[in-house]
Amino acid sequence: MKTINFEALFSASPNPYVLLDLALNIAGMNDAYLAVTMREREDLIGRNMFDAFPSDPDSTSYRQLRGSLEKVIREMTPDHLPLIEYAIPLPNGRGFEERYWSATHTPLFNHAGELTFILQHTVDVTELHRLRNMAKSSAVSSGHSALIETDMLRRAQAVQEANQALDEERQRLRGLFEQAPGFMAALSGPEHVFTMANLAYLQVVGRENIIGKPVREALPEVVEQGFLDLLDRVYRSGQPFVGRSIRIMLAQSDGSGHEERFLDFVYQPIFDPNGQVSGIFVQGHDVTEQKRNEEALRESEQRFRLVAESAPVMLWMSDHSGKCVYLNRAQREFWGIDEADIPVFDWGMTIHPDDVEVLGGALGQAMAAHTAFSTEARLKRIDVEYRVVRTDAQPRFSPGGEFLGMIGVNVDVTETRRAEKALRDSEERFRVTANSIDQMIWSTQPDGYHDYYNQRWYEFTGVPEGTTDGEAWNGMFHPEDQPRAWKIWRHSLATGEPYHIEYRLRHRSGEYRWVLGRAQPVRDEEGRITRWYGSCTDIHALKQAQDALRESRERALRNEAETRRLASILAERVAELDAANDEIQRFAYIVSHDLRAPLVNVMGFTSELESAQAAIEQFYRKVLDAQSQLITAETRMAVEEDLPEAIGFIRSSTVKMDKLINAILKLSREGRRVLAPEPIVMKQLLEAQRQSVAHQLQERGAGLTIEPVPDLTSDRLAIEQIFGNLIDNAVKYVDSTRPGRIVIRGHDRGDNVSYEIQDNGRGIDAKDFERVFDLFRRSGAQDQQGEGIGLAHVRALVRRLGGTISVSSRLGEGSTFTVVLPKYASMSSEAA
Amino acid sequence: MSQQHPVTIIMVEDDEGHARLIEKNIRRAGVYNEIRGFASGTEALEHMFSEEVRNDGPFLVLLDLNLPDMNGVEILARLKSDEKLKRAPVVVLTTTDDQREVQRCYDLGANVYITKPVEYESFSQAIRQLGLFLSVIQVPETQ
Repeated sequence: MKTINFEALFSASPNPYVLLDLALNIAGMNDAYLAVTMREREDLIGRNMFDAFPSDPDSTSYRQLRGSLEKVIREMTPDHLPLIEYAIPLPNGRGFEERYWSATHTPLFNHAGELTFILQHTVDVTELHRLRNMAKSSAVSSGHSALIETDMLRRAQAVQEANQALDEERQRLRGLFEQAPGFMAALSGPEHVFTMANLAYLQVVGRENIIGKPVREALPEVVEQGFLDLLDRVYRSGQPFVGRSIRIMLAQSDGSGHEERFLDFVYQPIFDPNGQVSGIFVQGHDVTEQKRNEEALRESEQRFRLVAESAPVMLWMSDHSGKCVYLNRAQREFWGIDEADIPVFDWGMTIHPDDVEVLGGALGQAMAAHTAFSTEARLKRIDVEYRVVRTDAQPRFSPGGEFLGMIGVNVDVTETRRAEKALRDSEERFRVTANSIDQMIWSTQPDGYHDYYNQRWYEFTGVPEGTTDGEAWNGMFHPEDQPRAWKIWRHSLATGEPYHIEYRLRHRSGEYRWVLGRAQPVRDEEGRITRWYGSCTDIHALKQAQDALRESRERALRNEAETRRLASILAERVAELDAANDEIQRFAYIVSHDLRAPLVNVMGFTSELESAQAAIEQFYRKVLDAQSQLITAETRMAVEEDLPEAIGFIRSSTVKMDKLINAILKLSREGRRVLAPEPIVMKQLLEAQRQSVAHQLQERGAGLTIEPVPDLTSDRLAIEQIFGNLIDNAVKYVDSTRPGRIVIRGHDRGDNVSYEIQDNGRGIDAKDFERVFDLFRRSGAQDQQGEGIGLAHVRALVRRLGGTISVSSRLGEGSTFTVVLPKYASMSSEAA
Repeated sequence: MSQQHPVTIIMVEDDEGHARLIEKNIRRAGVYNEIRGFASGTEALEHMFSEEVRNDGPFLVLLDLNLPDMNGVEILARLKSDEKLKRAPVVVLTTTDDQREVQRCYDLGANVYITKPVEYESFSQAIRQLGLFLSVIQVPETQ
């Protein structure tokens, strides 16, 4: 392989080359370069580019050339200057010649890869440029090829101009980038590819190497958090997005999870010359710390407010001028104001006129000296009542030591003060009372040491004051009572149970009198006994009376026990009777049914017999007519007398028996019927019954008078049957020798009502007073229809209703039936 | 009354006298249907619930309530809950006129309730009326 002599190649190249070091000093050039620049080698070597070819630093030429070179150094990539106007000095010192160049700057690297030189390849395009200008001025006449040249040049110039503008913009942005304390990044295209990101940005996202990557790839964790959507929206809409304290979770570079950060940022769309969004500029600040501090502050503020608001005491805060800035709920409620009223609320108006000086003075002094203060004053509450309020306040200072005002606690001590005063008053009252009452009063320390007796004690015992202090009181008791009293007293002291005893106390007369001793402990809030208060009451007379009383009471108790025993026996008997009665009811019912069945047969076959007898008698008559000799006296007797007589008796007896059975059945049914009490207007009920006997009354010439009667609540059917029977009886048994007079009257007797049915009839013999109420029994001449069940039935009904019935009568003068019934019948059907 | 199937009268009555008097009076009313008498509830139920009788209607049942072995109300209940026998008219004949019992019988489906009066004229009158009743009612076939 042949070694190529690069230097020879370089020198011989027809293309002009110049080599610059990084300070832009000219390190070398080839002949072509010297020729085109019309300079000598010695004239240029070692000189700075801009010394050798000076230009105005403010000129476009200068900025273009310098910018291109610096860009190569910075980006280490080649840069092109398609068209640059750069005047060069003429060799003869006759000034500058306008030239147009097209240049390429290429970075050169050493073996270590470090940038060492920049190679400038420059072509003098002045002639081309002139041609283009000519073509522009005579476009119509110019040829086809000239036009192409011209177009190419124009495009080149346009590109160059655009590049220049972009480069300037980029420089400006870069400057911003470098200086900005916030983070910045530029995203390009719809995929939001990072084209730039400053250090602050890299720090925020906690990673490097994001340039050239789309956001989706560089920061995958933000996709789900909606930031990509935001970017898409900005890209699509061209509308910037401004975010304040936006929470973002960023993956930690060490993979330890996500870190929460709060950012203020702007997504600013970048427009291309056509007005289309080409990218997004991201700029913002990390406000995480600020945010956390704010939150901590707010939290602590809220915590304070919460505690203060719900505090059971009143809290307040004033500013340095003494004006209220905060009142907690308790305090606001005290004054009955809303939070909104605080700034305009003049609490000074609520101070009791007599306390203005005390409170105002203490407050004023503390405000002036920036010291704490405590005071008590009366403040007017919302209900216009003055309350005693204790205030304890402290000055408050800013972290810088500046006096901010006072903070204080107000406690309503009205009740406490009142209780204290009440206690003082009551102690005083006790002393006065104790000495003025009839009882002996004493008091001891918690251990039982007697240290107080009232005047009455000394008057009773006649001993000098103070001589019974301590335990000496025991000596005043009857010797027989001393040990017992001592024991009970020690027991009370040990347990705190009230002391209660009767004992004999020596009177100043020398007589021992019975006394009732009582004592109660008084305890403090913790339940500890603070004192014992006791009394002695002279019960001597009472005691004697009591003994007598006890004796009689014991007697009474004995009697009561006996009464109770008898009552329980009675209750048992009643229960037995009820059971027996029930049984009888059922028995009566069944028996009466069963008795009827054979009776049906007796009656039935008696009738059959009767018709048989009629047939026989007819036959007997025929025989008698035809062959009377066949008829014996016996036959005649049997057919004509015995048979009809026997049948007649059977028939009448059966009818009677049926009536008796029906009566028993009726009574037993009545006992089984469930009573249904209802309010009854007696006047109406009795009037209705008078109507039903009107015919009989008229027939017998009798009169029935209904006087005022009380009403009652009872079973209507039972009442109707009771009075119906009694009225029937009265009408039935009038004395035919005088006009019948029947009077019904009634009386209200509290829980009961009584009714009397009085007649002037034939009366009842005194020996029959009980009998008339028995079943099937009647009194006097049996000249009236009846089976003797009416009054039995009536009595059964009255008893069921819980009442009584009695009769008073004089034979030949008349009877009075008295029915007493409860005004309100009980519902029980078991009372039969 | 169907000509092919004259109504059979089934009389459940433990009192022989009553049974005789009832029969006499039914005949006197001109009713000559077959009367089958039973002196106990058990016998009567056995007969009526035997398949040939149960399916061989029509019937009319004269029922006394006070039977030695069971209450006639029970017989009534059994008849009225049987698919076939429930169509048979039941005439309850008893000595009691207790309204609760009367009501109970009607509730269970009794067609007529007759109290046996002790007074014979009334009794025979009642039975004769029943005979008239029998001659005019249409007794449904049990099938």
